[in-house]
Amino acid sequence: MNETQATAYALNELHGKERDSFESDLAGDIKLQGELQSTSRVADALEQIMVEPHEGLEPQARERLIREIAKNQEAWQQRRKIVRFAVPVSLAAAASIAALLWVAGGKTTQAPAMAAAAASERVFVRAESTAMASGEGTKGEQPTNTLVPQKRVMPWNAKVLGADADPGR
Amino acid sequence: MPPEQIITEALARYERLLVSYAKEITGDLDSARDAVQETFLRLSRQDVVALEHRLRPWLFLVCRNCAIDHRRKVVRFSTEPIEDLDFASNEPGPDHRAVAAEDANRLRDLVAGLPRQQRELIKLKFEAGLSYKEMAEALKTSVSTVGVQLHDAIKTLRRQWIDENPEILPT
Repeated sequence: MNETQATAYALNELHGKERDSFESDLAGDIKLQGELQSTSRVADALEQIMVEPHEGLEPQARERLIREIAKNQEAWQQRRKIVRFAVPVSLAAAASIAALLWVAGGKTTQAPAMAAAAASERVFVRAESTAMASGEGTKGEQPTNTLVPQKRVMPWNAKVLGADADPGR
Repeated sequence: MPPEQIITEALARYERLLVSYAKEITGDLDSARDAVQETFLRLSRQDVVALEHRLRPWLFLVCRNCAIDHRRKVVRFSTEPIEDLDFASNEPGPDHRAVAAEDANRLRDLVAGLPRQQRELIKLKFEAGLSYKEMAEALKTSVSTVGVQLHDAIKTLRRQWIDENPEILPT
């Protein structure tokens, strides 16, 4: 049996299953019972000699301390009020700014990019259809001022392709 | 309970226990009192309501740190080695209910002869009434370490005390 457990038991620091297990061991162990008894006696004696100490703070120092505590608490409460107000306001402001940026960003960055992509696709399609109409595409000759088709699959431009494929028609 | 009331009640309840505990570390009453004042000033700058449920170990932990700071200052300005400081209380305790006065004094001497760390544990357990868990929190260590060290301290005391008073052995 763990001696540390015997001390913990004597000091009422064993709980639950540990306590139950210790008690069942204790029942059949005379040596452990003796050890527990002498530990308990020392613990009792220690409790008796360790009485409430009588030395505290000096009365004047105590009064000063209480005044200081009151001041600190007041300051702390004020800081807390400020934080309570400032945090939600800051969060709300940050959320508003973020929302504005997001909305503005959608119009000024994403929209022009899409428009530019669509426009370049139109140019490419026009060049290709012009080349095919003039028969150049079949001859393998490329006009110098037209775009060269690479692997270009832009499904979102299907409409544009259909509409602008032959603007001359 | 309003924060200020929590602090005032804690001061009334723990002031003396903390002074006694700090004195164990600093070795002198004035430094111990300073450490306790510093502890309560620090408490007054905390969210006391949030701290309330673990106030006792918090107070002993902070008091310990303040007392150690004071002890370091004393050592810095003193040629006396830190271990040689007299930690023992020479003042007789007022209560000798069951333990005879002689036995009580002898037991106090035996406690005073323990290593400082073990004396601290004895104070926290038997004077301040902290649980193993609270002691572990106050000393920033594990519950099992507290259990082992306190067991060692009690075992030492038991051996020495029983050697001198074999009649207390169970029959």
